[in-house]
Amino acid sequence: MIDLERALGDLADHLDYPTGEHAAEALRRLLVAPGPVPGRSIARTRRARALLVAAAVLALVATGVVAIAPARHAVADWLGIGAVEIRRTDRPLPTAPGNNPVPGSPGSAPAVNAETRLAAARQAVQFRIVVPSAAAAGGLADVEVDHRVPGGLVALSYTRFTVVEIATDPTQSMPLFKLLPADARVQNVRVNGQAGAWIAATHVIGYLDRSGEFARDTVRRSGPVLLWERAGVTYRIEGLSSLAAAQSVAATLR
Amino acid sequence: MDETGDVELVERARTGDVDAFSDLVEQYRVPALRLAYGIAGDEAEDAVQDAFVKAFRNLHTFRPGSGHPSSGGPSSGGPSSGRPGSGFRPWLFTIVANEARNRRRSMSRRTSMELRVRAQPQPVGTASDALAIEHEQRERLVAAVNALSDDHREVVALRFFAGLSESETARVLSCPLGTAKSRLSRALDLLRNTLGEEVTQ
Repeated sequence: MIDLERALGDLADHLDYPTGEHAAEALRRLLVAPGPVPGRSIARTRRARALLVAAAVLALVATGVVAIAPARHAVADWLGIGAVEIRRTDRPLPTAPGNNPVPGSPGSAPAVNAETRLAAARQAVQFRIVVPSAAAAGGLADVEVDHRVPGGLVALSYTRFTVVEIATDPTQSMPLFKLLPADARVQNVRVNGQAGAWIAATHVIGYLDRSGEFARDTVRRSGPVLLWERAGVTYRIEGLSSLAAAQSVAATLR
Repeated sequence: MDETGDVELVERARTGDVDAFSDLVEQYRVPALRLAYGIAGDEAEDAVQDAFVKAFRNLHTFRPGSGHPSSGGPSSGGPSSGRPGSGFRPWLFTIVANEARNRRRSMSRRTSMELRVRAQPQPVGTASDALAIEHEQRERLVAAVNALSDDHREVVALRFFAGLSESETARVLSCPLGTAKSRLSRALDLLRNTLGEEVTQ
């Protein structure tokens, strides 16, 4: 007869977990590599893996083999930036807009009280809100704050695009997800010196609930988006059709 | 390494001292891998690598002394029960657990969440029977752990595989200490039920 708690402690010593013997040295090389700190190599690894998986999915379809989705949702791979988890699917994207979707749909007309709402938003979130230059953005149309994200999410809507800024806490699960077609391209880019991603394809964005499942009533469609993370804040610029245009706006954020 | 030593290494790492961060990685590598393995099986190594990178990038958010106070008392015995629950270790392991959960959620069909016991070298001499029995016991125990729900398996991994105290476990789970204790108690009950007379009640 064995003592269960003692046996579990003993089991830990005999599990077939990876030893990671060279983890410290590998990370060290990563951290001292030229250029902005981390993210880059990891992102490249993820992108390579994502592309491999996407290719595998296409190969299965091409050969007539049905791609059987994992149990809960048709996820092909995982990657993420800051507060946003990115998933791929080989199923049709959800089409119905949610009743309480993620803020940030671009294309609003300028509003007279938007600056007042921006001042209130600065008090309501736990990070410093930055805004694009007036020359790049035109008039501010609307400001939304969403506290479903710990630390806050703010969406600044302009006539041509939206800037969304999201508090990023590494000790919390990623609160947002993007769901992409399996063959959608995620282009790794540098944004203001940080690792980021450009997603040109139409996709959906929504919140994850506490169990990590899609909160379906929060889902909405999203167009092209530039996404990056810096110093505890995740940034999204949504609504501009070219990477160059989105990069130009990002460069003016102050 | 005590908590003071951790904080000193973190302070040095914040200034860009990669050697200091490498020391932290080396110190926490094994329990981090055990925790990630307990949550995400074959995805453990990737999860831990991403967690360490994320931790390095976010060292500025670590606040020494934050978190739940140590539970204390006789019921908080077990692995590392004497260590304070407010330091770098639970902060880091919260990130590790999150990365592992993300991996578990989106795990591809080519990977497995099933935990396995490491194969052992062929024993020689009179000790072989005893070693074989121990190995079989571990095989039955790991099968019972594999049968637990994600939540119960995670609390077992935090407490016994990573060696966190009860208060540290509660902090990583972002729940009150009582909730963590009851979840662990329920997980142990389930394991006892599965293993039957093989374990003490």
